[in-house]
Amino acid sequence: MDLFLWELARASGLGAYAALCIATISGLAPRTAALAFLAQNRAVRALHDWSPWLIIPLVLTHVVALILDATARIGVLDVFVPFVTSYGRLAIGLGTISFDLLVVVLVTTWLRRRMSLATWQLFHRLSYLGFVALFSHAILSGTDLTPIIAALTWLAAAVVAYYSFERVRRSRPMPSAG
Amino acid sequence: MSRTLAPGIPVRETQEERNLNAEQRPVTTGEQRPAKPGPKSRKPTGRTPAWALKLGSALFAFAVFGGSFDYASQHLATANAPLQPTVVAVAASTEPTVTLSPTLSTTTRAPVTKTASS
Repeated sequence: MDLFLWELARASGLGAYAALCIATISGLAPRTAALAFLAQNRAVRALHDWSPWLIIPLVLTHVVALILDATARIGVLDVFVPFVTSYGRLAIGLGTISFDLLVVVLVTTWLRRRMSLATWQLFHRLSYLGFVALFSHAILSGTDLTPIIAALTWLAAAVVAYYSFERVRRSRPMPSAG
Repeated sequence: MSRTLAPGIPVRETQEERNLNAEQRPVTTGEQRPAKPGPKSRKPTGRTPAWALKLGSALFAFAVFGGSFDYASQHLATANAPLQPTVVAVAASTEPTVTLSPTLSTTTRAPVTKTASS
């Protein structure tokens, strides 16, 4: 049984990374035209709004499988409090941070109408930090990072980084002439 | 060319004065005006509907999940994985060790060399 849970945790971890890449890129796309070759902004926005339904099952599978797997020795506390595991504190702690930030981003998105736009944007921008933590967690603790999978992981992160900088560059006010 | 009754009090121009002033104004042509910026040339955007994007992304994510599960089931333990739980090392240090020794030992008794026949 432990073996099945271990395989499930590894597979769902990579699936969750793919799903979060989709969510991040589709969130950046309307301002950067990252997916303009594929669809109009309205459809891309609909994909971004729908992406939690892809992320939540995969992330929960990853977390629950690791809790139930006795060999991994991950407790319920380790899921929410970073850097308290008995081994791999940094690598697993970064995963915990990304999980916590994901929860914050999702909850504040669902409570969006109850807060001001500026407050919601502040919370939503934590997703950039969450993605960095997730990527570091994948690189430092990923069991299945063979050269091909590692290359795809780095490629996805590079795409997210490029469009994040592009998003920041486009949001700057244009310098006035003269 | 406006007349004033008193300093600081302007008087409306007559039609004649207005025409005269218009003749003296610099003539502007269409060429001198700054050209209005036209619509920016945009790259053609894709027409994929939202439902197709959702379906495609779901298939992609679950393909990654399925492929990873298949790979993980074929490679149960990756020796060069960056993170290795210390469970195995701890278990190995607490288990009793077994040492093997030769089972044959020498004796001081004299070998039997006498044989009898009836």
